[in-house]
Amino acid sequence: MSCVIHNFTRNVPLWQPRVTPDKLAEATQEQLDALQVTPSNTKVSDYVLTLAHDVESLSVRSPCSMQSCMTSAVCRERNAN
Amino acid sequence: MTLFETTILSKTGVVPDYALALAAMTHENIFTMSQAAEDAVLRPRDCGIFGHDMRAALAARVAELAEDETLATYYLTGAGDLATIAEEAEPDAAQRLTTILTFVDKVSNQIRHTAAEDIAGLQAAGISDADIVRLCELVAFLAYQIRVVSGLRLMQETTL
Repeated sequence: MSCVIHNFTRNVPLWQPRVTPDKLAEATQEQLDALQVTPSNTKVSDYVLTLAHDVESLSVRSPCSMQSCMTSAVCRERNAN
Repeated sequence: MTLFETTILSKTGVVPDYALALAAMTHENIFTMSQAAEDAVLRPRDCGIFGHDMRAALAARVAELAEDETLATYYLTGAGDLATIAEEAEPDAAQRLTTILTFVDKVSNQIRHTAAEDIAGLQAAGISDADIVRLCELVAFLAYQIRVVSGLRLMQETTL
């Protein structure tokens, strides 16, 4: 690096999508299944709701070792095979 | 599909007799999940505006730009009549396709220079937010897959 950083901040950076996230209230069953794969079910973040636009990809991108993963239709199907 | 038939291991060239195969077998879930991710972004049920052939063509293009001829050839087999967009220059491409290809090339190779204007450009070209996410998922997966294959090849060279 060409320069040393001396300044620090405790401000937590915020992530804001450049596209409009899906609306949880309007989510399809497949999206709801996929959204349950995420680490926190207490509040579904804009990040995950943005990824919910591509529900098939979202369904397989979270670790299957998670207990909640088995609630996903994709993982149930995979586990059955 | 067996572990060694997954794209990552087969395109790396790992076969059961190789020393690297033992390491791969201890992480089978990673390769299985990676294959599921490939299926989801290359051959999804709900394609949006990006059909399977278009996705394969874009994947071949990204692999070609990364100088991975093996992966490029693999993806070209699914591109059909769209195979020509895998080439670096496609002067006859329609404006929307040009916008898509410019975006794909940039996020594949100059990700730190990607800016809000790049997403706005896709939206201005009439591409829906859902399709923008689909496109980004495809390119993001390819960035992962190409790097894993490249790394495994280097490991294989040292363990043969």
